[in-house]
Amino acid sequence: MAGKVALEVKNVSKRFPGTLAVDNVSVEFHQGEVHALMGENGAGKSTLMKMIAGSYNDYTGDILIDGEEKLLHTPSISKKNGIGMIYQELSLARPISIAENILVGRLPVKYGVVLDKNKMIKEAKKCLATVKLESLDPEKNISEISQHQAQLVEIAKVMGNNPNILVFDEPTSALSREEVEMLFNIITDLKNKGMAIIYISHHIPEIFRIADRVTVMRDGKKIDTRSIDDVKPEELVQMMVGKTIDKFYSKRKGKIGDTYLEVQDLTRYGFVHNISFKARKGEILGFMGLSGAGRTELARCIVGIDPIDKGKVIKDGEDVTPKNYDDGINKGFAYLSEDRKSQGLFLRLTNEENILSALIPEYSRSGIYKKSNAGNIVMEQIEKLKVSPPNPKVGVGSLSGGNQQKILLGKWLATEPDVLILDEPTRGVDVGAKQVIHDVVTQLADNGTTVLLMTSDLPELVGLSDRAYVIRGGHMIGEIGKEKLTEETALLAANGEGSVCDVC
Amino acid sequence: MHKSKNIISLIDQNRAILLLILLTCFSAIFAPNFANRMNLSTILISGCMLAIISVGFTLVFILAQIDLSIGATAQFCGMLCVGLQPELGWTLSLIIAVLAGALIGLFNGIVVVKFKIHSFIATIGTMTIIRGILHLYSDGGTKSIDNYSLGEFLETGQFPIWFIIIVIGAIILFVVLSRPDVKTIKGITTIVVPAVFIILWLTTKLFSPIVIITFIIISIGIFLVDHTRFGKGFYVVGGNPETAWLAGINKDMYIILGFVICGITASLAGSIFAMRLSSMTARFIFAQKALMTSLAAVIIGGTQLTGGKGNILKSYFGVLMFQVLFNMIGCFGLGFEIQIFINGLILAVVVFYEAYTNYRHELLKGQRPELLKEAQSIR
Amino acid sequence: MGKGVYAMSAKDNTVLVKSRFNDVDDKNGISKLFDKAGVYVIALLLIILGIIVSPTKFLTPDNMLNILRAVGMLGITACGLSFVIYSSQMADMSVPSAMAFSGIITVQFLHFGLVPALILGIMFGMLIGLVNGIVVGYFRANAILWTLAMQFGMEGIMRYVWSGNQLYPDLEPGTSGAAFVNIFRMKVGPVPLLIIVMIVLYIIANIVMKKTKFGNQLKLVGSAYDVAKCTGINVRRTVLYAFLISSFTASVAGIFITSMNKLGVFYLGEGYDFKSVTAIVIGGMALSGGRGNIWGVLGGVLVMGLLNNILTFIGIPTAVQNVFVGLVFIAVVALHTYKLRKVGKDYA
Repeated sequence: MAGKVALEVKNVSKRFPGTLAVDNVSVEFHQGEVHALMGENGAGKSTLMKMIAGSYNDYTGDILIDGEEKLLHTPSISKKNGIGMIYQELSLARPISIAENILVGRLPVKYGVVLDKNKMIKEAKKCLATVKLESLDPEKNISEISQHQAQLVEIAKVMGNNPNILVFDEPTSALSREEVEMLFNIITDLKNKGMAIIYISHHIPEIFRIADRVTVMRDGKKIDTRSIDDVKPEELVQMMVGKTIDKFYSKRKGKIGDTYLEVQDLTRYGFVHNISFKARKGEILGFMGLSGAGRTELARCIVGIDPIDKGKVIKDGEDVTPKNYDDGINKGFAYLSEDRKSQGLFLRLTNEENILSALIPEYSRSGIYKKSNAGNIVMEQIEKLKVSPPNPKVGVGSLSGGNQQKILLGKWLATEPDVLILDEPTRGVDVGAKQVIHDVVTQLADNGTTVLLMTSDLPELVGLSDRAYVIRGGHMIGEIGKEKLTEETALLAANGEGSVCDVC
Repeated sequence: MHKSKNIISLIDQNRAILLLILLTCFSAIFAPNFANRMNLSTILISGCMLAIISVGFTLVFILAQIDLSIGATAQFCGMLCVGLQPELGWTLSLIIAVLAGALIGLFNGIVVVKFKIHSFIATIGTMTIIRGILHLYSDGGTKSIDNYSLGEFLETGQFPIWFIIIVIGAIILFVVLSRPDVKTIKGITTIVVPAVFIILWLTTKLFSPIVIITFIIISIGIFLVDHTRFGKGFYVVGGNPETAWLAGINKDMYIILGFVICGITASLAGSIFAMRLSSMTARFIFAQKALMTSLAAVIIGGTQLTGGKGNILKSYFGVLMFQVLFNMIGCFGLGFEIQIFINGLILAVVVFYEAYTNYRHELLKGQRPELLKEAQSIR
Repeated sequence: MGKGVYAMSAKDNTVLVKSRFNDVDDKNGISKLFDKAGVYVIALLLIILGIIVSPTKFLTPDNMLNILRAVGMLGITACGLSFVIYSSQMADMSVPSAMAFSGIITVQFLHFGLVPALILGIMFGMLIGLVNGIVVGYFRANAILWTLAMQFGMEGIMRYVWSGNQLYPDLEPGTSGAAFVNIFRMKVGPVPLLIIVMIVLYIIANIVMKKTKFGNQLKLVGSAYDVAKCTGINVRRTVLYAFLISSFTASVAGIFITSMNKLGVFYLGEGYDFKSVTAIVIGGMALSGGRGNIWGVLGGVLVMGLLNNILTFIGIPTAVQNVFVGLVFIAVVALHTYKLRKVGKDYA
């Protein structure tokens, strides 16, 4: 089934200031084959794909298309060489029609100027046929169709440029099971027509359904390329996760107390359903789940950012179900947002202003805010978290990713929460900062704070957590105890494989 | 459940023309002296200036921008047109007035694109500047001339036969070339509407020359935006600048061009208005009312500030709707103030309605479909 | 609340550390001075220009008082409007109607006595702000379009209800009417009441912005609306308050302008929407929100007053002065945007 080599990357590397994102990788992608690219966050697969898409003009190594070396330095060069990228954030314009989106920039004309609407519809339908959407009316707007259909339209749009190589970047995170099936049918169809398909994902079951071969990356390097028939899921997990012995997690000093936080039957229709769990005082409770599983939604509901339809939050025996986030903070909760740039930090303000931002109600009496009371807190957090440069008056936007994350953590630590919920606390953070953050969080738990840790960084999850729960599809699937908690079991459980014991 | 959603959506999509029909019927039944040929013709004539303004104004909205200087531009350029007529004659003064409008548009466009100033603020600034220049040029009074011949022609005249033949011929040509499918509603309207129009034009005196000119300008606008590849680019730039950039469309050029066209239509509208009355007032309420009504008309027509969406024809229906409304208010003996109030009220209702719809939508964003199904089966 | 973890060194070193760091934030000394007080530099330059233009008549106490009185009302409206702009809501185009409305209501109810009439006037004016605050704050309507709609609607109501006729207060000496008309003309010592009210409002506004919970949260809302939401701030209520404040100052200014003109009529507030925004932006407060301070706004107001005054001395008619104001405005915004761009920050 596998044809000749359509695309080959040979010894390619890409360096960013401070990291080598892709380190001497060589892979062959064949025609008529679905080649999966796997790896955890930060493994380098997105960077490798961006290279192929022409987003960088400073990579080293060779990229060969049909045997010929090409310099893919701009997106249009990539496109011209037959590479089609389907990104997670679709490049469609929502208010305009499907046909206009598919044919954007090259709408057919007659008599020189006049738009040929019939031809436009015909061509659009042709493109839609490649994704089995011939029945969809091309005159509908993108805003009127579902996310799934929009994704297919995106594929149709890319197909309109007659690519030979298609790259899918995590295409299934927002799709239902039936929609995933439909997508797979289309992909299989395209593969049988001779396209070389690169499929980036970290969903193991999907890879086994759709891929012919799989390449695993870790820390920028290629670990191995195997045929899907000769590999087992556990092997893949092991390759992805590796034996990262160099990462050492400090032993927990504090004593874990009794049940402190209890969430009962928490439901927000359409986002999380019937989630119940218990967390103990001084415990770091991990929450495992693939992206889109509902962990962030769960966190936001617990602290009061989003409204709850059903369920209760009980802390220290009292019903503290928050009415809004201010109420939640008041009751001792804190939530560190997933996206520090758009939801966590005031990028235009200083470190000091950010750290104090959640404390304003705390330091206000009858409407008057006394900042002088809060003076030491800022330096405390900066020092504790080893922020560099340790200047409270510096604009937080100028800090590195790791330092920004520290300021974000400092903002919530300053509120002295009883329950701290962390969502991807070390995403996009360098190793040094990661270590500091881990130490601080561990110390926090040792001193009695309950920490809910939501992360897709497996070593972090396994290294820090005392226990872990598994979330999938908005539901609580089960619990993994400390003894059984390894990176392999966590990933398998999140993917729906392996055995997981139910506790709640 | 689904069906009622579709009906509401259908009504919402066509609210401008539905409101127009509703108001017209209401007025015909209840408003004294409304339903006669003279009055209907007056309504059409009074809607001409705003109709032409809204052609360019809609374009600016499609680009996700706003232009608050249109009223001032219309008033100033109209005054320029009348003011220069004695020395330069109508043709030349019209050209100069329109050029001035284009320049104002160019200024707006450059300030927005190159200085990266939000269009709302930039065009308020332009409006203030033009107001000052207007005052300077008019010395506070009305500019007028004694020659009413053009005005009379525009209002009650008749085009020469050759012109009528050319226009009708163009209409027929366009209908034929678009090869309408007689089985669809769209196809039938493509044949029936022009036919009815031609008959009405030739047999009744419903359409004055100024109205015909307005129709021509509107048609050119619709043609540009809906039937050329170039025109469709406006929608892409306004709908998602990323998409435009990825497809190689020059976003900056489109935005500047949008403002220029808006300036041209505003100046054209003001000039034609001034030609009809052979005068132009210096009282600024003229510009303010023009802005008020155009804004409300375009938004009722369904165009949104968020960009990528807009329909010149619907904006025109919005304009006509307001003209019928104002006329009806006049027929009932109520004054100018009521017009202004109703204008504001309708705008407020539409803005609130759109905000509320968005608010509900945001609340439910991001729901997983399977979970919703689950939730519904439980309930 | 639970216990936190304290680094022992922090408390001891805080004072030392604080003195080591100053406002680094990417700029050198002069540039920072300009940022904080740039508008006053412009004012100074204008004063110098004024002296050049008219050496004898410009720098007199009379003329200075003239300028202050001319910008008194602008100062008051700009003071409140700056809260709306600070919150990144972009605009409150209903300010002119709030001004006129409060004046009309006050004159209408003067027979209840001066103080009750004033209170009613301000309350009615603030009603406009309340509606604005609810629709824009809670339902997230576009502030520009909504406040424009309010402006049109209110103007229509005022034109109709008071039939386009001006409402004259009864001016018999001893009546509330006379007292009302005196408000604008009243002085405390040599200084007009108007100026005193303006200064007091600015002082209060500064305290509110810098020292209250609301003011500090307002800055966060203006800086990054979504982040503020995820920081536990009630963003919708904050925006509501901003609009209430804007309509409050508009009402106060409206009372003065109505008193000055000795009549209550719908068009009195005309132009104050644009003029206020101009003053605010010239004063260094960016339209994008969360940036600038109230004294800068006062500086912007003074700059506009000086500009108008100088232009009058040169002999340019009032209506044409708008042209210059408009041009200055665009130049200042462009300059601000350019500076912000260079540092890699937001838009104007």
